[in-house]
Amino acid sequence: MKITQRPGGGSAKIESETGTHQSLALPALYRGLRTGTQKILDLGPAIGPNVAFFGRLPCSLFIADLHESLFPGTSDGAVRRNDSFEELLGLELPDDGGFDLVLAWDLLNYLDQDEISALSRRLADVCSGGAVLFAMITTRRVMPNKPTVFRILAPDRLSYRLESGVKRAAPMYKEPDLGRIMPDFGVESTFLLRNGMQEYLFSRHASA
Amino acid sequence: MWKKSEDSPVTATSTVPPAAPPARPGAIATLGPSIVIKGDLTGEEDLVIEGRVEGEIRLTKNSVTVGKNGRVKADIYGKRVHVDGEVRGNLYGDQEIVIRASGRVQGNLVSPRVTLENGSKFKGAIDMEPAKPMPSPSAGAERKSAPGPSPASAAPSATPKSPSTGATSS
Repeated sequence: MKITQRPGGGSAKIESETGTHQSLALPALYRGLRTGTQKILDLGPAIGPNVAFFGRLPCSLFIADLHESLFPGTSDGAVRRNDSFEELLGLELPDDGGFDLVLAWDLLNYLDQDEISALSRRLADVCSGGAVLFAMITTRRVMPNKPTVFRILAPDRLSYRLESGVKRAAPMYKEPDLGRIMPDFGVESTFLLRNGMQEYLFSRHASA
Repeated sequence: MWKKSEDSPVTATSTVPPAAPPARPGAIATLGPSIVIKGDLTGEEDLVIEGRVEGEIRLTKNSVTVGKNGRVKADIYGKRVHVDGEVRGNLYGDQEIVIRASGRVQGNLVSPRVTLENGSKFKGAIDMEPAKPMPSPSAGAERKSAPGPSPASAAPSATPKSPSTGATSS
């Protein structure tokens, strides 16, 4: 569905796009979340439906919103901040760890390999052994200009919103690449979706 | 604002109202945009903050609203806490916390009901365990020594299909 909106009260009109898709990884996460109290780290922005979803489960939620830190503002220009990524992680991620689940959404597509390695190391510090990292990697050549905002509609259904039709080249990371640059995490399972996204469930090595 | 008459004589038969009258039910106090407070705020009236506050705000029986112009660097304790402006601090809502579309919050949220409106910005932890008492120096000690029901047993209908508990969104 295409709609036209005025982001941030500005006068420029841009095309935004919303839609829904089925998730194959979320049901597995959901089953795990129902088994006991879990600590969740959401690297994406604070989204009402997602907070509502997790608020009904026995879990605590920390929202880091790296989207806003890396791509401040709502314009479609998606200019990335030039701060040191490692410094940014030090500022934005909590020091107290013990997280059981990390939601990275499609953020990894917007980081280079060194940044993914830095993120992986930092996450290994704040995650418990066996913690699960949920990420979506695009298999297409182009992707939206900035990370997508996903909303959890149901345990197996996500909606997304693209703020503009502006695209950029996608890194198209492959599973061996990710395994090499994220040595503290191993791939538990992957699910290729019809929309070109591949959902990954990584697990933090217990010995990491 | 109340103006105290400090120079008028006070006798046993004086009809001068007390300096700090009890709050009227339903009364709402407003801190205007030019007001800057550095210190703690307590009271028994609903409060709307359009100015700047640095310190602690504790109105546990009333609503606290940080208006669009409000800039708060403080922990806020209220029955209901609504944010249209900016807050750096932890929010404790005995009944609910609402971050409206224009709201910006960096801190932790503790309330059985948390609403993040579309467009709001938030960074921090969210704790929505139901029936958790409002933290205070004494209540904190109680909570540690008297564990409450587990989240699962406290909210038996807490499944994604049940709309009856916890957070709302818009």
